[in-house]
This record gives sequence, structure tokens and C-alpha cells, in this order.
Amino acid sequence: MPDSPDPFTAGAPVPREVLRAETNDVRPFARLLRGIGLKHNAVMSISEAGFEVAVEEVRTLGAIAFIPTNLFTSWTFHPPSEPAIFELSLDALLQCLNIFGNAGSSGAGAGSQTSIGRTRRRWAGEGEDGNDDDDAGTGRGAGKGKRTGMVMSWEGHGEPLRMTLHDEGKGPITTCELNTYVPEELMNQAFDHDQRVLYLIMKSEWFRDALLDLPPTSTRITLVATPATNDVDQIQGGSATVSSNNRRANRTKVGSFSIQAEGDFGSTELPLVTLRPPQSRVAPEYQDRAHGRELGLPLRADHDARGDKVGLGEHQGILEFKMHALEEIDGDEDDE
Amino acid sequence: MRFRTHISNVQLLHKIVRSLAALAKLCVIRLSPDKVHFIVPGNEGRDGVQVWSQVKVSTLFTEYRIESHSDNEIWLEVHLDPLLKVLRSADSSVGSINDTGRNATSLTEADVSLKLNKKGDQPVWAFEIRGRSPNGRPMTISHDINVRVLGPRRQGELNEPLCPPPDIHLVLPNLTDLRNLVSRLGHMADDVEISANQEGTMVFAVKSKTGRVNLSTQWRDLHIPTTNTEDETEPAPADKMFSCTVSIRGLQKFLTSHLVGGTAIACICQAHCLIAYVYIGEVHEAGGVLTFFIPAKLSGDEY
Repeated sequence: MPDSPDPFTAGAPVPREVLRAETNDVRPFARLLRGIGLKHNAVMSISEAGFEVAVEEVRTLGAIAFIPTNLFTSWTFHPPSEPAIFELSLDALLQCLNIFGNAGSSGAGAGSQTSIGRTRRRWAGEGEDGNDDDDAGTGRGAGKGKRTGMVMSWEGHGEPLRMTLHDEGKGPITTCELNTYVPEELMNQAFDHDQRVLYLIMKSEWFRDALLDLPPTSTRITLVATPATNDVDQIQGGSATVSSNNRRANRTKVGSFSIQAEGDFGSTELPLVTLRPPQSRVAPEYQDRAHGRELGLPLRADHDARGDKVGLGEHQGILEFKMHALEEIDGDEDDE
Repeated sequence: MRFRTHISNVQLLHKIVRSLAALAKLCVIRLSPDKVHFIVPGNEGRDGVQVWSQVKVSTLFTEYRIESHSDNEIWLEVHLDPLLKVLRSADSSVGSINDTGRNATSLTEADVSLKLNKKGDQPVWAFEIRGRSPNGRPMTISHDINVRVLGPRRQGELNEPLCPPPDIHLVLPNLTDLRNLVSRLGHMADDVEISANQEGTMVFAVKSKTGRVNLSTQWRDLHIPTTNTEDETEPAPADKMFSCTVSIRGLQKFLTSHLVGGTAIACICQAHCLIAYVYIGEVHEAGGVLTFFIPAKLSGDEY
């Protein structure tokens, strides 16, 4: 689609900043990017709403970070003629954001130290030894409240992503240029919400803790959910806190969700109590075999499990993970 | 040949040896009546980094006695790893003056002495740590490390590297901060180009190994020390940058000397080398200086 004619110089392109974003603390931005750091390269897409940064391990796992503009003190976006999408090194981006030591993985996020995949593959943005190598362990910025501020700009296709980073109160200024590339086709299909059979909201720490409780020798896990009965309406009006006496009774009414793990040792099952009933009425639908089973796992940056406003309205960032199931689940498997 | 002394500043000696141990396995120690020189010569240092340094005897030692047939100088070759272990033990035994809590191994009224001895044919440095254990009993801990005495021929081979007069001197920012930054640059690239000008601007620039990112960090208004040179030539314009590309690993070896904690001055010899002077104690006290020669990386051909 041709651009409207340029009034100043016929033919020659006028360079205009597609994006200019500023923040005085790169940590929320870096944190979201680190959360999807399972590959070294990512596809970044820019819009009026913010960034969408996607990584994928073909046929296995995909992740997208939705980074809203409210994480930045200023956001100016001039849509270019072609969609603002490019591939870049997520590894390099994270290393640049952490150049003054204020956005590294040390300190917060104990989970990154214990995750099962860590010994096999380096997470994006980490050093060779897997962590930030500041003296005295905790990372220089952590205790002192030092913040790294950033101005980021991009002038359009073919141009690198430019960042200027400054350490709060200290001398040096770092400028980076990250080369941008035409993105590879994303092979994993988008999660089809119409085919969704289960939707539940819970505190991410509970899910994480449950996964960490599983035997480390587990080789596969199965997520099993049973739907709520028709007594859902009775629970809707109640308060979110239920006494332990009523919990068992309520569990059968609100449905259940559990994790089964299998490994060399045998198998185990971890039931998780849901805090609220599923938002939508769920019947055990069987997905079309052509699509296979998929698990979508959106994580919101605010820790509340409140799911009233589920849409992407005002949020501090969302990480969405998508995993392919290992095999088709037989239609007439017994319910728990 | 005789040498004996008390080590009055064990902590500082420990920090110096820690800095050197990051660079090499062997070190030459030249003992003279008024100075002690720590040398990591050309073929020893990793990444070609050399150390030629001198410390005033009074900075580290008391009751220092030395005698020899060659101007009362003794040149020794020492393995840094065992020396470091001994000093670590001595440092923890003596503790620091400011320590309010006592660790389990520290002794009261502690004193560390060092003597050049011979065990049969093998020259050794014999360390003795004397003091009182926590329950008041006198205690002595001894350590012996093998040393090699270097004769005049080997002494003659050890020469400071030749380099042209530096193009620019400047006082480096805090070495600990610099070290943390350089270690993060090390994740992205192997080499860093260091540039500076008379205005006090210094730039560290890296290009990543995979070519995916270029990064440069700039400091402004760094202090330029006054040097008394009898240079006849015109001074360069204040904004002209002089630069030198060095290996990040070599630079990190030098930056381990942040432990010593003193002022550091860097000199750039355009495309030839970077020389860093790390002062021990206050600059005006002239207690001593560790001098690091970091050679420039040649672009293109590998050796």
C-alpha cells in the first residue's frame, strides 16, 4: 500500500521516529522480558498499546509478554506503513537493561534458581554462570534502591533499536544499538479461545509451589479438571473465603483442578483447591482432534487473583504461556 | 643471604596477593632494603597482562632485615596459590583492627613474621603467626612455602615492557563499579575499545560476538592528573580521543585490584597498550603502586 506523497522531498524517505519510550526504572520492563526468556531471540511488535514480545520453541512452548505503555513515563508511537514487527536478540536486550546491575535476575525470583530446566539451558539475559556476577551476591542495585532509567527509540524497518541507559545519581551513560531483523514466521498457532474447555484463575504462586512440590524425577504431568455442578449460582454470591468445614463440600460444587505427575518412581497427584468457581460455565467438551490439546497460561503482573476484569484493560503486564499437550487424551477417559 | 621481617599490615598484603593471584600462578618478588617489588612478567600473566609494582617496605613490614651479596637485594619466584592460602590464614588469625566480633580462628596479640630459610637444599619462606588463643594460651601457627631464588641471569631477563609515552592519563572512576560493569560487558563480547580525551571523557565500547548489539558506556568530567612532561610537541586538541582495544578478560584481571581500594590512574598508548596505576594507600603518601600493563589486541591476525 503506497504511502501518501511526502510534501518535502519527493521520493526520499523522511526519517521519523516510529517509537520513543522513556522510563526512569527499567525493572518492570526487564522483569517481564525475563519471564519469557526461554529463547535467545524474540519477535517484538509495537503498537499504541505497548509491546508484545513473543518467543517460541516450535511445537513445544510459546510465550508472549504483553508490556503496556503505563510502564513507561512517556510513550510516543507513530505507526509506520508496515506493521512494526522485528526480531532481535532478547539476550542482548536484557543484558543492556542490566548494564548497571539494576535489572538482573539476582535476588528476586527464587524460582529461577530451582526451575528444572535451568541446568540444561541458559535463560536469556543471564551470564555464563547463570547469574548476575556482582560482588557480594545480592547485586549492587538491590539494597541501595538505585534505578536505571532508559530512553528507547526506533526509527523504522532496517534501523536498530536504540537505547540510552543512565544510572540514577551516577556518572556513566550507556548507549546501545540492537540490530533488528525480519522476523521468522511464528509456527505455533494462536490459542483458539472458542475451543477452550477450561478456564480458571488462581494465584500464580500456588501453581508454582504445587509444581515445585512434585517429585523432581517426574517426567510428565497431567492437568485434570472436573467441572462445577449446576450449583455454581449458589456460590457466586458468597464471599471468597470459605471455612475449612465447608471447603470439601464446596469443592465438589465448584469443581476441582489437580496435577498428576508420573515418573520413574510411580505417580502422584496434587489437588489444588480453586478459590473461585470458573468464570464461565464449562461442560466437558472434547476438542477437535485436528487442533490437539493446548494449555494456555496467562500470568498477570499484579498478584491479585481477582478476575473480575479479565480483559487487557489496565494492567502492569501479562505473560502468556502456551504449551502443546504431549498426546491426544482419549474421549472416554474416566473423570476423577 | 638473609631475610627476616614482621608483617605489620597482613590485610593489605593479602589484598595485593589476591589481586596478583587473579592474573597468574607465579610471581617474582624482588626484595630490596627500602622497597618490595611484585612482578608478574610477560609470559606469566593471562591475556598478556603484566604487573610491575613497588611498595615501600614501611607500608607492609616492620623490623625488616635484608642482606645479600648483590646490593642487599634478593629476587624470589613464588607460587601465588600457596602464598594466598598462607595469607588468608594469617589474615583471619590476626583479624582487622576494626573487627568488633571475633571469629573463631583469631588470636589476640597476634604477630606475623616471615623468614627466608632453607630446608635441606630447598629455600622456603617460613611464616610464623604467634598469639594467644581465645582461652589465653600462647599459640604458634607455622607455614612454609617453597620459593626459588633467581640468579643474575634471570634477573636480567626481567625487564619492564617498553612503551611509548602515553597519549592520555586520567583518573578512573570507582574500580568496584567499573569491575561490575566490565563483567557485564564480558557477557556480550571478548574485546573492549577504551578511549579517552583531555576533557575527561572516557568511553568503553563493545560490539557483541554475534554482531547483534553495539554498546558504549561514557563517563564525563573525569579528572586528568597533571603530569610533568617536557614534551615539546603541541598538545592535542582537548576533544581528540585516544583509544586502545584490549581483551575484556585481561581488563578484568586488572580490575581484581579493586580490592586494594586505592585511586587508579589509566594511561592509554594509542593502539599499543593500556597502563593502569593502582595506588596503595593515599597517593601523596606514596606507600606503593601496582602497575598493570594491558597490551592492545591486534585486529585481524591471530598469533
